[in-house]
Amino acid sequence: MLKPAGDGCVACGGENIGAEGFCEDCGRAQPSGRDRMECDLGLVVGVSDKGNRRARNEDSMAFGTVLGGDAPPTVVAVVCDGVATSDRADSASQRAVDEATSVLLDAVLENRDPAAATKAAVAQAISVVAQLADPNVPGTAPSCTFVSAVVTPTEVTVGSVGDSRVYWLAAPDSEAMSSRMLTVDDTVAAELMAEGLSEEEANAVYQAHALSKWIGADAGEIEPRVVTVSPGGPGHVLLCSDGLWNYVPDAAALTEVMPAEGGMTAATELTALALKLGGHDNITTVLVPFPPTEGEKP
Amino acid sequence: MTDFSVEVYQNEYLAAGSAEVNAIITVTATGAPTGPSVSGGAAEVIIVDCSGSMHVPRTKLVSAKQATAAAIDTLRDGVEFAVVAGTDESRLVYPYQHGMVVSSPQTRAEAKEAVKKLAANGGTAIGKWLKLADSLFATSAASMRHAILLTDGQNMHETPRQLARTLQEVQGHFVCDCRGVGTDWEVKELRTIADALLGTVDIVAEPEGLEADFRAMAASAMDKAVADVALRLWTPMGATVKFVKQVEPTLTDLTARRVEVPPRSGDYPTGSWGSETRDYHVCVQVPAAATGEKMLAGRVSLVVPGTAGVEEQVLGKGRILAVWTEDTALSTRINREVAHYTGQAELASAIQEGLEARKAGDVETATAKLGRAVQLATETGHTDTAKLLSKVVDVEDARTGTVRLKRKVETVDEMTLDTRSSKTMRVRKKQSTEG
Repeated sequence: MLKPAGDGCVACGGENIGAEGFCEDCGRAQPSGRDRMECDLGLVVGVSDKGNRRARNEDSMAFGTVLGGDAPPTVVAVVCDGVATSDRADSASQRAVDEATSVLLDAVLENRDPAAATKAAVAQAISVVAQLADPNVPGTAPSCTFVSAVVTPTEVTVGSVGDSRVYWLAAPDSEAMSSRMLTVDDTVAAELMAEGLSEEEANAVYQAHALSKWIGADAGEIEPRVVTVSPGGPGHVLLCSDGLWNYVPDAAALTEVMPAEGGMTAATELTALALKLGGHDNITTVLVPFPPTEGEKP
Repeated sequence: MTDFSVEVYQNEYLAAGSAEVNAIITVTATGAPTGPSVSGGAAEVIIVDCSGSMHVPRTKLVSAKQATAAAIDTLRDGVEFAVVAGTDESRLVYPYQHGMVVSSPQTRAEAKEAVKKLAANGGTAIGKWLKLADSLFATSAASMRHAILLTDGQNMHETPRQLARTLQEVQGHFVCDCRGVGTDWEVKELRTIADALLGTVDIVAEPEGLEADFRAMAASAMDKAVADVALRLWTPMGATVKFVKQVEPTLTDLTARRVEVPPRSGDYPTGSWGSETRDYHVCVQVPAAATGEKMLAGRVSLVVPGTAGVEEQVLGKGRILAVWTEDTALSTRINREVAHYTGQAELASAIQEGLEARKAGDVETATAKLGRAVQLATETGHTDTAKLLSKVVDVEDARTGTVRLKRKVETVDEMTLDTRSSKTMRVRKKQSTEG
């Protein structure tokens, strides 16, 4: 994940970049070459940006479509946000999105149940990310969050671990279910709220936004939260890291600020908004139209 | 083959503009072989004070002889050893010619016989004893070189400068554990020797306690598997190492012992290792970077010197990181391990400075320092230290550190408190989150 050889250190210009991604002269962590990623597969688009404050982009995204053949047109997408306090978080998120996406695509091709496939994808992500851990350096095992969506013409199946989110954003005047968050954060605050504390109280506790679940060698036995919904009308499925939703957490508000035509315009616009509002963290935005029908934009 | 693992405990988050990075490094050595088949072998010199005062009371010399015999019995077959008697001169007691002898049932019996005949008279010149030990070790090819030094008095027959010069000469050649018997010796003096020679210091108030202590020291020396291990610290360009201290099992400041290893690394001596765990506190000042930036502020590994045919090995790897953030919830977080050992260091210096002030007649400083020590010991659950402190001061309120100096204090209590002030307690292990 290093910059191509020949490029000097971002801080001191030195040539001596170690295998761990630090400059062997000045110690500075090097950017991973993922500062800005944009990808447009037609039915699914994504933008991932380093933001204004972070040294590198530790988020990643991957997605694919299955069209034609026996299976109904289906889109799978995964977003992972590397845990900044862990080691090589950028590698963790990259490995996780790559592996999970291929597990999900295989499952779709074989017409398997999306919910079971989502669990299998998370298990696979955990196993590959755990392999990144250096047993000599405990406590810093590479870690990341996880959200996935399998979008078929009738259903949306989402899986989540951590505090990245999936939103359902209803199209204007659509008869679909109203805009809403489809995931639940695995954070201390969210757990306290589930136990009955008010949002305000929960957010006031020490380390309210610390993750209670993550993907990594030190994550313990975890299972993703998996939910399947039938939206009942056109709209968009938005997968994003907290670099976006921190600025616009409310589903209705997101629907309002997002350009209605969706696609790359919408993903770029949402990213620009987060950057304008501060861009404190890496920002990843992946949009899938619902229903995902070729040639038919909702 | 001994392997080292390195764990780093720190809060890597720094507020904008901050530049000081603190970390506790836990080093664990595993896989140390037991038995005499250590590569390069082991050598042991036992140095017994035979100055005139060892006769007063008579039990002192008798116990010292018994203790030495017990230590000799602990030596495994194949270990090289020698026994030195120290006065204002130094004399080789066993073997009979300059050099060391290989331990066997026969040589051990001979050595014990020679020790039995020891008599006490003359003065104390510890530097000369150490010099003789050093010249004995020089005749041996053993890599694991350990000495036990027993004394009952102050170093009267040479100047502190002479001793300091000797320490500089012999430093790094062998590890030396020091024991003071009775109450006529100087804690600071013995601690200086033990620190310089990477050993421990303790008081054995009653001569009867010597035997068990000697046996334990010799046994622990036999358990060491690898000698002359150094802690290597890499720091980035523009960084300054503020300090490197061993903080567990005892406090020892290693900062000044750095040996440069260009580029940008330095080695700090840690002596010999068996299967054991030690903690180090590293404090590095780095050039501050902008918020959002992440820096490798230090890299810690252990260096095992090469022996015949085997190259030097750099084992284990721990990373000390610095990440600048505007999130004060992160940057103000206090790392448990760093706080724990910072508290221990403060406790040790409060005791040592308090006792010093008390000796100098500075009641005000002594009361303040020892009061703070009582408060710290209570807060941190150092019940042993708190108990020792209560023999020196009357505690009115442990929580606030309100104390009065006791009018009459037993010398042995004061010296025990002083000697043990540099012993530390391990931070309680975090609950593991392994799944």
